[in-house]
Amino acid sequence: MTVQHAPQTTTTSARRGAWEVIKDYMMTTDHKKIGLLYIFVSLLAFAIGGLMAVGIRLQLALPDQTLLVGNTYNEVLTGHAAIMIFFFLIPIGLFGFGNYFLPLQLGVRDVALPRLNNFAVWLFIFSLILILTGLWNGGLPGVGWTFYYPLSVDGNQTGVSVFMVALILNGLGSLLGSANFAATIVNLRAPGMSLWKMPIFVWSIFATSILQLVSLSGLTAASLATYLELKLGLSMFNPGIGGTPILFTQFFWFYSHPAVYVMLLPYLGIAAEVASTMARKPLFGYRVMVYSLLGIVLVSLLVWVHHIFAVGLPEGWQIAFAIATLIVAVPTGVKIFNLIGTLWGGRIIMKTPTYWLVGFIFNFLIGGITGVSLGMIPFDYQVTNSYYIVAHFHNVMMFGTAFLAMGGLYYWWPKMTGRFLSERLGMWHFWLFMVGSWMTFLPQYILGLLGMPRRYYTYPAGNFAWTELNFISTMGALILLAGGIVMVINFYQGLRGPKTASNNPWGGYTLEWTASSPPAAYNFAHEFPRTFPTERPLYDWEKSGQTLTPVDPKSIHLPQDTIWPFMTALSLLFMGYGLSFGWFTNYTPAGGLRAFSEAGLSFQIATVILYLSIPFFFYSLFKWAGTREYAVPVEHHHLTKYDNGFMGMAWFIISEVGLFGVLIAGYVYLRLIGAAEPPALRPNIWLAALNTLILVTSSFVIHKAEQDHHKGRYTWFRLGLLITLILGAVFMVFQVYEFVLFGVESDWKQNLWQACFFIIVGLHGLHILIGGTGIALPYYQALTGKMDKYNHGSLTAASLYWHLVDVVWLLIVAIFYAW
Amino acid sequence: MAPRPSAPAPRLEHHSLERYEAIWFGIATLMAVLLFVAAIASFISGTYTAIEGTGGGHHITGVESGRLDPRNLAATPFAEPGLRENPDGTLEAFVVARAFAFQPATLRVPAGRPVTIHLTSADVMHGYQVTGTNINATAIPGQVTSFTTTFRRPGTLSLVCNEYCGTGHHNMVNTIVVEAPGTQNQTE
Repeated sequence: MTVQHAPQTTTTSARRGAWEVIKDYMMTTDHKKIGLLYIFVSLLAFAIGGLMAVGIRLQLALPDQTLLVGNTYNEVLTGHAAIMIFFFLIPIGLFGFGNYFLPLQLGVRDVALPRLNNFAVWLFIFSLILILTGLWNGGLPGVGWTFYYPLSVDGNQTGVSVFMVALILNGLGSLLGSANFAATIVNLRAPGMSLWKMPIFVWSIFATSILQLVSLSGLTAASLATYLELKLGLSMFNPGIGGTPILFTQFFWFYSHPAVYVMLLPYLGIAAEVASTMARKPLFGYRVMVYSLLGIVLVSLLVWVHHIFAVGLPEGWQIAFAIATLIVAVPTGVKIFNLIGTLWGGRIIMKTPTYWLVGFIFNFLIGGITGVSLGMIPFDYQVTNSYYIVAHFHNVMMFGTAFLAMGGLYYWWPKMTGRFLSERLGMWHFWLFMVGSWMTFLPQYILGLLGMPRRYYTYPAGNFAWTELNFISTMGALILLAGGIVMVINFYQGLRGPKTASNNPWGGYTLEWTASSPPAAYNFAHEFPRTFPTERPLYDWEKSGQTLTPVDPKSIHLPQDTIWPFMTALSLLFMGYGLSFGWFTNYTPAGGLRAFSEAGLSFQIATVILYLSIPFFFYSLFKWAGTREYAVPVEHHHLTKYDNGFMGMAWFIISEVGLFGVLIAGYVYLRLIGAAEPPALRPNIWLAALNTLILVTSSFVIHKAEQDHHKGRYTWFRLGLLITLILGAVFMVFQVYEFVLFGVESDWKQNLWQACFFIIVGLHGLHILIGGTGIALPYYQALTGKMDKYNHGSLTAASLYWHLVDVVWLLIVAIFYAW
Repeated sequence: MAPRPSAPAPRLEHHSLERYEAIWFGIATLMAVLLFVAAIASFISGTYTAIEGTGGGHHITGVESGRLDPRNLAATPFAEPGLRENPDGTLEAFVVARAFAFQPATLRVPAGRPVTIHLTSADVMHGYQVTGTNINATAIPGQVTSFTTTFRRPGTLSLVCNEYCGTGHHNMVNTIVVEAPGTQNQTE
């Protein structure tokens, strides 16, 4: 074999204490450790969510059980769904495997923005912790993971505020991670690897990241609007003032249907990798698979209404979305067919990853077909909100994509740990999951057709076959629990014992298999040939006799560890806690403004935490900005002419455009149907015009400052940033004045237009603060002498973000002040 | 057992695979296009199925373009939920969903005559599912959901809420009694 692999790392470091390990993970910039953190937390969440599911099934095993009753059941149900979706299925594939293997498969040393990556993973972990703090603050959310309006703002509900805040923080981490992946793919591939020669898993992560960036705004908009109604009484949905509850469901499903594909695409990438390696064949239809991925991204954005056929939308809408629902099945079917095509005629190695793959193909096919059946409108009317739906989405997620999460773990475990998982326990794990899943969910399909609605915590005896089918389903859940226990044992054993895995235990042909198992911190102690004839370079190089060029590991520089991204994320946990359970003042929409001393103790504590978190946040953020990424000057390579910060920000901005787009679309709808009419006294256009002038000027100023930095005129550059900051501050002063005036003039709880104005223009004001902070960072870097010809700090990203805020303002002037 | 004479396995050459791939891509594209055209053709020709009626053309006091003020149901016919017969002989039923029951608790309708059901919610979103049929509408606060249907066979149907609405959700079950023609007057 001409392809030489890196020598196995034989140095065994002395066992470190637990605190040392935790500290390492808090400060790390290593994409592999961050990926492991995502995988570990996701598996933990899978365990918690799984135990909750067992509790639900035990309650439903027989009629009139009293294990989980009333709101307790609803809290467990909501917790199960939210944890499985937001903390297991989405993160483990996209961010767990994505972080670990995307740079390895691209043949690079890290993602584009390693420190942002650390921030994102901790934000993800803290959002999970934040939801759990609901336990001693009234209870977990019990509104269902869909938190439909107006149930979510009902006074009897618990934990909704914290759920909303946690979703927004989780979403922020998710968007930063997605933007980071997209920037990595565009900017940092191994020299010679074109987009069309990337491994299919990288394509799947790319497609998922784009989908996440485009669609997540729907969930953010839904949770933000719900949160603002709870805290301030600002509502876009309240029917009492002309709002539309259905608008909420539109916002929500605009994300939550594409989310289904966020939970699918990374796993299809894993499936393709496993199929190709285990069948010893190239992928059948690599290009077709990429087109299918991108086709799914496009069409999945156009199907969300099929979740709400029963609300009685105009027939034209229903038809259009029914067609799109059927069409999205085509690229998905193509993927399945191509997986079979890849396996066909191959010399298949039947190991555990292959079993999970084949299990997935079988299960997902059936789940997919029941999904297509739901696209048929008349049939959908019959089974909407019944157990048929429950069975369907578990069919595609639990024993569809989660099977591939397991497949991915079994496939890449040797690479991640240097050890193999037990094949024997793996077989037990697989078959217990396979049998358990069908036994749990096949009866639920039938229950749905027999008319059992979902989200019932109990049911009476005497309905035809309900008792028997529910009992069988619960038995299935217990088998799944047994499978879960086998899984834990297998993973635990798989972390002990000697490291026996070679670099390439399965004989794969993508670049991650040239790294040692587990890979060293720098990933590769070699450089790759510059020619990539196909997406399987190791095969091609072996044929053509090209070899890897060894590199001295000592010459490799990695970003230095820093605690400040972690601290910044921690401050957001505190801020989120304060925003969930306290507020800046003792204000409630029902009771109005009261003295702070009248509030409850937990509210007071949360408010104090909120105030304390703000200086903590700024301190950590500025310390982060003031710490250089690399300890020594290094030369940066990127494939485009844009630096990584700019590239990451450019991708992130898609999500900001989406957020404003969703909210503004909602407002325009309410305005067009005549529900949101501006009151007689509305903010004056002249002040807005003045503010427009200020903001447009500031955009030119920061552009000039950037040019000055480019040309080495540092004094002018610093002055430009300062002027931009001052202009931003002046803008904020005018806007606060205008808000106070408008808020005193009329009651925002009674006027829909005013509520929309405060939500959307207020959100823009928040973006001015974020953008201003963004500009303050390079200003601080410049003042502390960290900017020079080679170091741009975060200048380009901050400037780009400021231009975005400016452009959004022009749109806001048009639709709120001029219209 | 004699070994089966093995024919030389066809070799999967690179370009034969490429040709298969191209063919498959063509088939997949064709499928997407055909599905699209067939769906459009079905909708244009009117051979699709759908719930008939969009409010039956009835005007409801206090309701404008399907919207009403949920805080003031008293100004609308929803103040007195139930079935009523219009002077022109058409039947209209007003149903209010609220946590955790439907009003009227028992809706009596005659078999074989079209009934227009108007549905709204007084608090949160509810479902209106009639078991054994594909009637499944969402009751939305501030909006009226209307549809016309004909119950053909006499009998008792269960009416369940299927949109999660709070702790009493599973108890939100009422009935629709479909009465044989002629018996209606005695029960009213």
